[in-house]
Amino acid sequence: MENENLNKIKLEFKKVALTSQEKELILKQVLIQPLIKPEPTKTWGQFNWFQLTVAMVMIVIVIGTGTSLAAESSLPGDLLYQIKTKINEPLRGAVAVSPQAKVEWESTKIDRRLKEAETLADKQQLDETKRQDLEVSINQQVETFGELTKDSTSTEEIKSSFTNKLKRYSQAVEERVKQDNHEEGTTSSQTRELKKLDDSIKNKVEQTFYKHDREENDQDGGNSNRDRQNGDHRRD
Amino acid sequence: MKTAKVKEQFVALYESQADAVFRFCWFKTSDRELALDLTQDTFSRFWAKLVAGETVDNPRAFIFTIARHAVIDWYRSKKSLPFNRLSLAEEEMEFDPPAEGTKQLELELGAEARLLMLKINQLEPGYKQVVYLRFIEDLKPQEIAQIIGASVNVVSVRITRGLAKLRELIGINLN
Repeated sequence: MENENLNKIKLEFKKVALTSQEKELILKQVLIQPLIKPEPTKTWGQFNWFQLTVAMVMIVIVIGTGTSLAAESSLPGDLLYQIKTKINEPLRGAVAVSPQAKVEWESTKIDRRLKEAETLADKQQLDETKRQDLEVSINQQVETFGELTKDSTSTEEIKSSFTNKLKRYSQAVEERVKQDNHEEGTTSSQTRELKKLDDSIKNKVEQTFYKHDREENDQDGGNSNRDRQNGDHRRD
Repeated sequence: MKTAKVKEQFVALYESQADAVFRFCWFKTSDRELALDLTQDTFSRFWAKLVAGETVDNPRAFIFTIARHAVIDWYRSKKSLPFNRLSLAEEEMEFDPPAEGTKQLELELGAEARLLMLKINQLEPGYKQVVYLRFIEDLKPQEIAQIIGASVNVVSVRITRGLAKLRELIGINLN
């Protein structure tokens, strides 16, 4: 008896249904519609892709910035050194747009290399390989600097600050040699490497600017050569 | 072509299940218009899966699963909080149909059915759905387990307790 009742109630419930029009219409719309891509099973909560992407980008930026900053104080041989020279420096180079800025940046880079050399020497970490790497870098930079300052649009200031920088380095190396001899009686290997670097730079500078001198001589008939001899690139 | 056969199967399933799905969606949302949309949404998704080549063991349970997700998605979109981390189960707990919608549904029912509906809605959220699916739609516990994503044990327990409670509320023996 109760079961009959129950069935009755169930049937009542099942009266709640679509009208035949509604049913037809829905079917039609389902089949006509461009297909919804079947969704992958949602195992997690609702994924907000936009915010996830934003968060990830921010994390990458923060990590990148931190790493980049840390890289600034890295030396040849460090892991981060690659970042310093292959990421940070090119980036700064790209930002230097005006010719003036480019020249200054080249000069600054040489600065950085020299500082790295000296810091390595202080830490007793300057070996032949590292010195050679620095040499290559510096040579490249000297060459570029030479190219950029070839014509007379570069200020004298820049050119002389460049020369002074190199002179200061030479002098610092001489100081070390003296100190070494005073303390130990001989020059340490570190200092020797620094000296080698110094010599190589002098060579390169002479090469680069002598080449320019020659070029100008060929073009100019000698006037600018005289200028140069009077002015900038003193060998000492 | 294979699509024709698939379409045939789909239409057959649609004809037999559309009403049940509609009922279910109405039961969950107390909104007839919305139930119509959700029904269409359910079958669209189902159609898409069939076309994509998915094979289904138990079409009926599968369709109800899709329907349930369609309802949940709608509730989520209603809330539209960016980091809404409610679990599926919690979301169902939160659902609370507005009173008018229920009345509308009840008008379609006879007195006793209306009473039953009322009482089912008085059950706790976790039990409502299970009792409805078991009692009204005659789905098996395994099927219900698949639909709501719980274990068969949990479902069986809820059915038993839910029906017992319903019995209490109505005073009818519901075996």
